Amino acid sequence: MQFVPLQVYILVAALLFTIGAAGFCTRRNVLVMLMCVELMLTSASLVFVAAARAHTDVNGQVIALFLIALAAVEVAVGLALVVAVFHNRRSVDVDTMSDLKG
Amino acid sequence: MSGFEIVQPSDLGAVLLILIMVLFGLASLLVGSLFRQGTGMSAWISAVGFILTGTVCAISLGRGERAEGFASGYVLDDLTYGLVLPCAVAGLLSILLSLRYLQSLKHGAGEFCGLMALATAGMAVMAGAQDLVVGFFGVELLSVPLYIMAAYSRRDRLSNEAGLKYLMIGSVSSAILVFGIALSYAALGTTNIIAMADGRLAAGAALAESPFTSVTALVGLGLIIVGLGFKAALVPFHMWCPDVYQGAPTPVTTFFSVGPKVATVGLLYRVLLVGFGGLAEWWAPVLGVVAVLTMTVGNLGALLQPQGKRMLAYSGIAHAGYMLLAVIGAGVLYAKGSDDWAAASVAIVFYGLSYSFMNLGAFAAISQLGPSDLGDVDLDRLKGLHVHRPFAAAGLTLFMISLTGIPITAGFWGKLSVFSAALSSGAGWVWAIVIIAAINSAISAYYYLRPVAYSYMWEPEAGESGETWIPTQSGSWVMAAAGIGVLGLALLPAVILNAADAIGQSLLPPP
Repeated sequence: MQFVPLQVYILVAALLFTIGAAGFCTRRNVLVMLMCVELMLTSASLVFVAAARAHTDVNGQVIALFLIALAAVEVAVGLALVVAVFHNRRSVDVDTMSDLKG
Repeated sequence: MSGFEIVQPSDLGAVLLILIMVLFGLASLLVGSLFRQGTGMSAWISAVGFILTGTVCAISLGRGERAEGFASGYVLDDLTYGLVLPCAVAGLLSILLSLRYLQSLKHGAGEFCGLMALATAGMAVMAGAQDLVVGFFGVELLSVPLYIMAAYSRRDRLSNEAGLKYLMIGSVSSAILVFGIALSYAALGTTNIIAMADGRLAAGAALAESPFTSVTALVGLGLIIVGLGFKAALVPFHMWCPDVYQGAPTPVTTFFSVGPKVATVGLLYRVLLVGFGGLAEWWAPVLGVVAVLTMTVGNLGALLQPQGKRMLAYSGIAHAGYMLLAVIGAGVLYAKGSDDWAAASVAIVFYGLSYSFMNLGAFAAISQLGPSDLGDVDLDRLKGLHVHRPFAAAGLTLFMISLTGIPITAGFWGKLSVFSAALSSGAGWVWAIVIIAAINSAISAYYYLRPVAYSYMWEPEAGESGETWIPTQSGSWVMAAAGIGVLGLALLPAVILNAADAIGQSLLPPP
């Protein structure tokens, strides 16, 4: 049987990670930025699962499950904060958040 | 992490510190939400948890014991005890300091104490993590409560903004960190740092294997350093730090400023030395550049800050830079093949402990400069403090000269141990970094001594009778406790430094 080599998975994951990071840096809407972070976390899960297969080691797959839970935790807290900020400012644009400076 | 053993009793012994903090944290969360008047009670429950953890650490420190658990994913050794001790001290004093803030809250005061205890449990996970993934989840257990605590005053614009900024930067740095861990797992086939250090999996051997493996391993290592650098606010990953410190309620900032920094530098130290020691010649120079930038940018940023919390935020950045010196020295020694590198552990522990006392004291002083814990306070409110509040002025002076590192203070011994850990490596470029660090300490005297000058050399402005200083009982207690700690460490540094050998030895892999 033929396998896709680990290198290909890592390259795809690196591409996903870069897209996420680029999106995080260029978008100004907090919700979209959170989505980009999710993309970055997902790329890590992909590497874990692919590497677990390549090393015939189950730990990587377990870690990927944990990562999914973690992503949910961060989004839960993140959305709660976004709602609180929206109540105060009527906007979720990061450029409006410039009260803290010095 | 091999095999699927059912949890052994010895595993539970290894995670004792985490268990204590989680149990007390959950108890205080529960009490806080069940009883309307439970604020005081949940604060006490958390405080007891901190005291218990701190006592266990203080008793066990320097005994040379070593308990591994969960398939060697977590280790309870002297470095773990030594790193958790300052975190527990900082947690206890921050809880005390937050009593006024908790009374001002309409609801959620109990949860606040629970979150603080859970965040400390996260620091305990980081301090003893012997597996990259365990360390990562420790970082998360620490960060998520901190996001919530930074934004705890929901109606306050600044607190909101601080919380959201912290969450965005924190979650992106978590993603960077975990992607780095994933890459090093792909290259080395394990996430356990002990397994990474020996045999076929050795990080150094991976470089020789194939170009792809070596690039993956090095990029993974780089991303791990960047991810942890964000968490510890090392330059150039520090830009969130002053904003978040300024916007968060003062007791939260106090809590931020010590535990997370100490635990993150400790985790970085353990991961880099025990796990990636074979790559020390790659990462030590990189950390050298980061340390120089961190110290310099931190000190220059603090230099002209008129506001208290922001000034201490930059000062905290600089102190993380000083702590890095010990890691660099250890790395250079490791690359030379010497086992003496483990002596740097004691420098990190001592620095963390002295920093926790003096920084807590400084924040306790800042918190009494204003009527509320929200927003920032101008340092010139200190003018003429000595006239009405001689004890407060004396305490403030003690903390500030200790933060500067003037001999003979706790901060001086901390800096001395960190600098000598770096110098013991004997490399020329490390000498240069230590000289830059010494120059930086001299620069820092300007902004640390300015508040002291305000309180002694100015007279109170006419018409005002010292109203700028709003004493709180808890603030005075924290200043007194931190003052005793600073003085104790200044006069009896040997108590900790005697444990030096044991702390270092327990890090070395068992023969």
